[in-house]
Amino acid sequence: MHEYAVTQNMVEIAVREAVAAGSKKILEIRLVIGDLSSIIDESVSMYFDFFSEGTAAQGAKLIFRRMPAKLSCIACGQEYEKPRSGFDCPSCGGEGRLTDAGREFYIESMEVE
Amino acid sequence: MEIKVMKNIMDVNNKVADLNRDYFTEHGITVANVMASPGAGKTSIIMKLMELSKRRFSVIEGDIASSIDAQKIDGMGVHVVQINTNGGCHLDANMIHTVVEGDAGFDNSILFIENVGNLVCPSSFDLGEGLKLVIASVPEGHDKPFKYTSMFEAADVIILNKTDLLPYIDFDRDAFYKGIRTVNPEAKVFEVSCRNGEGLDELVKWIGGV
Repeated sequence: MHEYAVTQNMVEIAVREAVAAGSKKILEIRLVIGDLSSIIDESVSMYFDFFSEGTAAQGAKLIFRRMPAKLSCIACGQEYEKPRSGFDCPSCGGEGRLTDAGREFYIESMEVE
Repeated sequence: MEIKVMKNIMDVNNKVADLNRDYFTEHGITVANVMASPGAGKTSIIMKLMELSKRRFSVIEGDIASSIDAQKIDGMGVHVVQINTNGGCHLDANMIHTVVEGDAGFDNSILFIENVGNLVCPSSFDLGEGLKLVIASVPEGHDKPFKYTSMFEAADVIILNKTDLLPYIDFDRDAFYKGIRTVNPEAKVFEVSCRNGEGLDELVKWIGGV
C-alpha cells in the first residue's frame, strides 16, 4: 500500500550506489522482499517507471526475490512457513511465534554498465 | 558489472527518524505513535488520556485531509499541529521532522502522534518515537492480530477499545489474545471503553509513568 514512498527511496539508494561505483547506467536491480513487508511487486514496478525516469535507473529490470514469513512452534520447536490461515504449527498444532524471516526489504545487488 | 548493495530500503526514512529521536531526547519529549484503523478510537483515547492525566501533552494529527480532530484537541487548550498527507496512507519521519523542529510548544511534553487511520503502512515507518501504541476496537473483530501481523508485532502497547460493545458483538477474546501472543508476546495490553470509562484508570496510571 505504501509502495509509492518506498519505491522513491529505492530509486534514490540505487542511483546513489551506482554513482559511487562510477556507473551512469543501471541495468538490473535485485530486490529481496519479505512477505510481512506488505509490499506488492507489481506496485513497485509501476512506481519505479515513474521515479526512475531521467535517472541512471531508467529502464533497469527489477528482479524480485520473495521471502516467506516463518514461524517457530513453542511446543515442538519446528520452523514452518506461515499457513494461509492462522499461525498454528502444522505438525503438532502448537502455538507459533514469528521469526525474523519474512521482514526483509532491501536491495541485494545491481548490474550496472 | 555487478555491485553488492545490501541496503535496507527503509534506511532513507530511518535516518531521519534517528534525527527526530535525538531531537526528542534533547527537548524532553516522550513520543507515542498512535496507530489504528479508521474509527477505532485514536482521537477519543488521546483526548481521554489528556483529560484524565496530569501530565503535559502535545499532539500531531495526521490525516489524509481535514482538521476535524485537530480542532477538537485545540479546544482543550493543548498544543496541536495538523499534518495533511494529501492522499498519503501514512506519516513518515520527514513529515514529523518538518513540523517538530524549532516548535517549542512540544518541549517537555508527552507527544501523541496520531497516525493516518490504517492498519498496514504506518507500522513500516519509524517516526523516531519511543512508543508504538496500537488501538484495536471490539467491532473490528478478534482476527485483526492475525490479519495485520506487522502492525500488532510492532506495538509496545495494544489497547482494545469499545469493550462496552462486547455483549452485542461476537468478539472472541481468547482468539484475540492468542493472536497477540503469537505476533507479540511482550506487548502490554489494556482493555478500555471511552464511552463508559471502563479500564481508563489503568491506562491513565500507565501514561503517568512513561
